[in-house]
Amino acid sequence: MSDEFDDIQAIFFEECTEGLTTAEQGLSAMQAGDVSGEVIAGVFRAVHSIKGGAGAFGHADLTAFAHKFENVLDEVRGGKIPPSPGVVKVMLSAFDILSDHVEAAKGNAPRPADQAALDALEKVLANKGADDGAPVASAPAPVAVEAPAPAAADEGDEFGFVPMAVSLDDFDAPAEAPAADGAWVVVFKPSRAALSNAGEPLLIIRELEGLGAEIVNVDTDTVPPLRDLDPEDAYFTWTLRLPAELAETDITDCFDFVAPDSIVEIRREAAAAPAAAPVAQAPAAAASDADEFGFVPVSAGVEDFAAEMQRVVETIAAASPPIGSVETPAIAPKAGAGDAQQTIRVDLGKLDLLLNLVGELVIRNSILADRLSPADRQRVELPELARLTRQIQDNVMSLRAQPIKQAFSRVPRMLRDLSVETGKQINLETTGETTEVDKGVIEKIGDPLTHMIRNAADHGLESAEERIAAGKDPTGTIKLSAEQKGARIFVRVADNGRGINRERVKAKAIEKGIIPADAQLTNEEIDQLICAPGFSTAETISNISGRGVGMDVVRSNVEALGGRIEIHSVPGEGTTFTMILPLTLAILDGMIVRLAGQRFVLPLAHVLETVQPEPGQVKRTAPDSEVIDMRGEYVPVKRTTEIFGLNDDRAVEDSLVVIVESEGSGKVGLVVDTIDDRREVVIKSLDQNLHPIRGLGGATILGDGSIALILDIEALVASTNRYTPKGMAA
Amino acid sequence: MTTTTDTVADRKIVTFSLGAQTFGIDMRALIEIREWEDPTPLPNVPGFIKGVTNLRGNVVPVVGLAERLGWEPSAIHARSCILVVHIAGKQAGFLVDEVNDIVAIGETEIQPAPEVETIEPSVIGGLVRISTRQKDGTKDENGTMVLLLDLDALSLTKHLDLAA
Repeated sequence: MSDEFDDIQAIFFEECTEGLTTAEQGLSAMQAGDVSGEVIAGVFRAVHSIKGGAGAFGHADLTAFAHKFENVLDEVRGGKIPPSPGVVKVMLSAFDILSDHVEAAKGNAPRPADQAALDALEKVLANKGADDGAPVASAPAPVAVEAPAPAAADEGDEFGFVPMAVSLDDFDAPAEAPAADGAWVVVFKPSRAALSNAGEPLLIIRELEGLGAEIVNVDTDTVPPLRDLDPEDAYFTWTLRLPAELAETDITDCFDFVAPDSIVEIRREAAAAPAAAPVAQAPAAAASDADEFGFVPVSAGVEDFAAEMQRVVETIAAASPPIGSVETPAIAPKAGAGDAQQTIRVDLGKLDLLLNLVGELVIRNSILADRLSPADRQRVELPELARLTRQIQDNVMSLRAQPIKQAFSRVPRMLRDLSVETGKQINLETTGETTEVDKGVIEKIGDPLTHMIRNAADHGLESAEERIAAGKDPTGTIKLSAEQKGARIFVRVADNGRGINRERVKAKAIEKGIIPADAQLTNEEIDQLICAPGFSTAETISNISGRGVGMDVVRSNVEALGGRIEIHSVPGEGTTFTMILPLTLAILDGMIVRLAGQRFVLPLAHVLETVQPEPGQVKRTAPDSEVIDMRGEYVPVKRTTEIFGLNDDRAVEDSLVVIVESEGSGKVGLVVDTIDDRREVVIKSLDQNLHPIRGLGGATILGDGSIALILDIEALVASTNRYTPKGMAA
Repeated sequence: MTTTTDTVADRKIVTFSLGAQTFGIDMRALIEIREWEDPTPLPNVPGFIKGVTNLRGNVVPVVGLAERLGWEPSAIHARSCILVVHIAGKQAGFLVDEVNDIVAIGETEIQPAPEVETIEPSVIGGLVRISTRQKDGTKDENGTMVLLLDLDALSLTKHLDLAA
């Protein structure tokens, strides 16, 4: 196959991933009792898009399974099958198989055994979900007034949505046509790239004509001026009328193999004329936005950067699939679903380049301001430029932030599998999933999170019998939560299981030679042993073998991110693992301080307070050791200049002491010359071009273009701290 | 340029001086030449790393090339400049005394450098003689020996690994 085909197929798989996420969220919501039409329609659309794409790429197994699944969803959506817990459960299992099918289509997994799920779906279809109990909450009221057409045609009305037209300027014409015969109206706008993808629209139109269709309108408004016209692209939008007696599936079948970004709309003419608001500005708008920023070419430097940025912005826009057309799922207009957002996929490298360029733009901006006379500086252009660049910077930075939902989304599936494997009943509670975290963090917490969840399900929770015997609810609960505190994010996995069996953990640690036999350990230290390398909980506490997931892997992953793990366990009540992670790997809220005249950035998250020491407030406890008297509390003082080997003979009374709180060493005072400023800085890693340096967390570029080094508080205060053996650090 | 005009000029090198020596690096490795500007010093690094500087949003180390090669450290003067180069997938700035010229040399003109008894592999990839332009426009017929630097051998981070 050609590279182009692979590229297109890669886009399809990305869409599959998104579709699966949407479907899972919807199904989970249904499981939780939210069976509103929007939710069901969302799941239906997702599965339908996957089916459509799979058909186009010849993944027959995936298509067949998705088709069956879609049938059930369609009936549920149409109110013919109540979304009872039993039905939802069947659909959840079907969803899992669907995910497996997608993996199989990617070539990552063998074809899943889907017969059981197919049978279950078939049974639901046959029984109309009747023997699966009463519907949960309010089933969508079947308002359908028109003919009992399958729902796809008129879902908009049935659920009371306001259907949003999809870039069809001529929408009104057919809609206002006489509604006497209730004929089918099909609006078809092929994907721009349809011709190069072997999706010849003519074939589809011929097929429709074979069914008795007549073309009522061809919209040529989207055809660009000749100089922009690409003869390889498809631009037209057809509106066709088909006889009313056709079944809807006859029509939809014709569209089974169109590219996923084509627009196909099928409805009855009898339906009330939908509000035809031309929606959906193309994502390509980004390109023209660049102009709207109105960069005033004040100086050559800024002009260059503006031009360069515009190029980047344009590349990003160009990276999106068909420009000028709308990125909508195949069928179905965007039916008011709250979280249906238009997205555009961008290579992260481009985003980082943009971030760098914007940073540079900000710097140039302030250099420019410094060079102008005060009178010129007050002119309107410059503050305006500064404001704009600041806004661009904020926006670009926010592009990297993503809701942690992305990392959480795979957990429900995992727990369903674990529930089957372990025979335990597990209930998942998730909170704080909208917490926004840097993309880099999200990518890297996936594995630790998986391990923690498995750990909680395997070892934390007891079996139903044990739980009943202990007087607990037979269904165990795992709480997954994320919360932001300052510049840190706390991700918790809490189970209400048996807690850590400290006696056995300690015995095992002694047996494995991790600790000496006579070690005296606090409860916290014993809990930490779980994370010690070579300590396999799988052998000791659980009967589930063959996994051997070591918590030391979790810990090293989290530490690599600059975070740490906290374990809190109460015997009989459960265990909580907390990952404490930096909110972002790219931006830091920092205090600009001077050490021996040189500027450094002190991460504000660590700073408790700043004091100007009175004479005698800093006392020596040894020739090379000092403490500061903080309202009666003696806090050790470190001279950062000495740690860094900088020359500094400034008296401590002329300096400031910044009291910082470190995870490892508690409160420590750092002596600095002065505090210049407080600002958000973009972290640049030193190891990109050099090597990590102990005591430094990276570097940043300040407003004047110079570099300030970022202090790594943990490493600084720990550098002279007593050594704590690996695996025991509290 | 050279007296042997029959050789194929298949490499371009940038020549620069460190003290009395003339060195050359492959043109393809060069990113840019900038004026000397005091870099931000780094703590806990070997002395030849002068610090880091801002190169269009990238934090790039500035290396005292003379010290790195074992010569006397360069004194900073008006013509000191920084050669920014690609080195093993990273970027680095070399402090040099003066950038001289860009010359084309043929592979056949490169002579091997003598083996030196050191722990690390030699960073001099070869020697080549070029004729230099004098200030009065005449050519120096004796030419100058250029030491070609092997940038791949000139690892900066390996040194740091040892120092860290």
